[in-house]
Amino acid sequence: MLDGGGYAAVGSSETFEEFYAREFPAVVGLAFALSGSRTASEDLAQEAFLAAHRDWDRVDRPDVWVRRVVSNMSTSMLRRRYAEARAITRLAFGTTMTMPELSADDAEFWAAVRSLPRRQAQVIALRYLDDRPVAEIAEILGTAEGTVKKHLHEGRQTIIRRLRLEEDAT
Amino acid sequence: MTFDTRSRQAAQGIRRAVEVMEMSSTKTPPRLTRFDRYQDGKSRNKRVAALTLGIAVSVLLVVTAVVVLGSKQDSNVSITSPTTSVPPPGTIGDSGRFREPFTYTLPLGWSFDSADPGWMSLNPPPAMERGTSFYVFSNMRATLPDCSDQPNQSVGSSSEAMTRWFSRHPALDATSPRPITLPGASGGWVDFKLAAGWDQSTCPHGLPLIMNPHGESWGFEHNTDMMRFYVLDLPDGNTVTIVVDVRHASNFQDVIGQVAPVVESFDFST
Repeated sequence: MLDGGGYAAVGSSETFEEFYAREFPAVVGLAFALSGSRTASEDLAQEAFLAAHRDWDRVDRPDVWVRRVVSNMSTSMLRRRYAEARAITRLAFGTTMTMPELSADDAEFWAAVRSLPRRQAQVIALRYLDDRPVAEIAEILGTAEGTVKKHLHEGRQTIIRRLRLEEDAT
Repeated sequence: MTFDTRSRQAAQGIRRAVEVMEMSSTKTPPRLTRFDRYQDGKSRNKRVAALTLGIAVSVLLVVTAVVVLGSKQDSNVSITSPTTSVPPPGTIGDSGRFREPFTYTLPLGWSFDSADPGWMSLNPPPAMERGTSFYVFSNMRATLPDCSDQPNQSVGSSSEAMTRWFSRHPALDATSPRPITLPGASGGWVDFKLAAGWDQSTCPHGLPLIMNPHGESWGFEHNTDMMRFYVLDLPDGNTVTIVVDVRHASNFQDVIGQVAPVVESFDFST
């Protein structure tokens, strides 16, 4: 278990339904940010929760686990395209929901994130969208904290250059 | 504007979009019920598939009985019975927008999912083990074995080169390549799972195995998976890779027993 970094650890008594109700909006948002697909994001999140549901008794930190799964699926082009194809099929039958479009500025920012190398994009989304501390991002992505910091730095610098942003005062 | 300000705004944009999506679902069931329906839908699909299969088996038994009785009654008239009079099971499908045209026969319960020039997928019946995936890719190359999503330039694109590579891949416990010949295509197949001794921490987010010319990769994302890759050489010099991805290796042989006839029905000569 992590120290939590301000996040309540998932207790063993929590039901899957409680976990799902709490985490779904954040996970579908993460899928949206990383995939860029308004139609596929719900499907990607559902797939991650379905996998968690299947292994509910064996998953130690389901909040970490679903984020790991959805981060990987959302940045895997082939998986994402498959999810999108299924979501569009369901959309045709009126059984799925679609995200509204982002503003041009927000869409530009997340497009810049998605243009980063895969791991940098995941780190940026987990840090700035999901508000995860570095230690927890390292847990989610299965990497060292130093590596997360490196990806954060490189990703930030790239986006600052591409979007012509100002350096933050430190 | 600073990065932190811009990122906060962009994060708020995503959160608002999710909220709007959730609010727009008031006409549909709320999210918990929706997930239940998601699960129920899968269960219902299984029940429908089982019912359909039961009806089909019943019909087949009746037809068989009629044919057998009919052949006994006619045995004094003719000792040969044309086997082609029995229609093939399932339906004939085509490859849609997939780059390499082919046809196939789908058993009961299978369905076409989607296709574009580079890939195509078929849906196995819901009753088949959950998590089984069936994909057909065009012109895939082997990736480096270091998780880097980069093409392995030392491995050729032919069926022989690809299947030999996967049979010796350092991260895989694989069978030797076996040949397969289909109308209009030939090549080989190999079964594999992650090697027990392979250090998964080297690729914590999955092991890429193949990638298309656009850099999109496919590989292991679950360490319980077991896969079969069919790699086929076509007369035009292109290749087709058929991937059967089974979520749990313990069910692999059962699943392959149902999937292999679908692959063997592929006809690239049309």
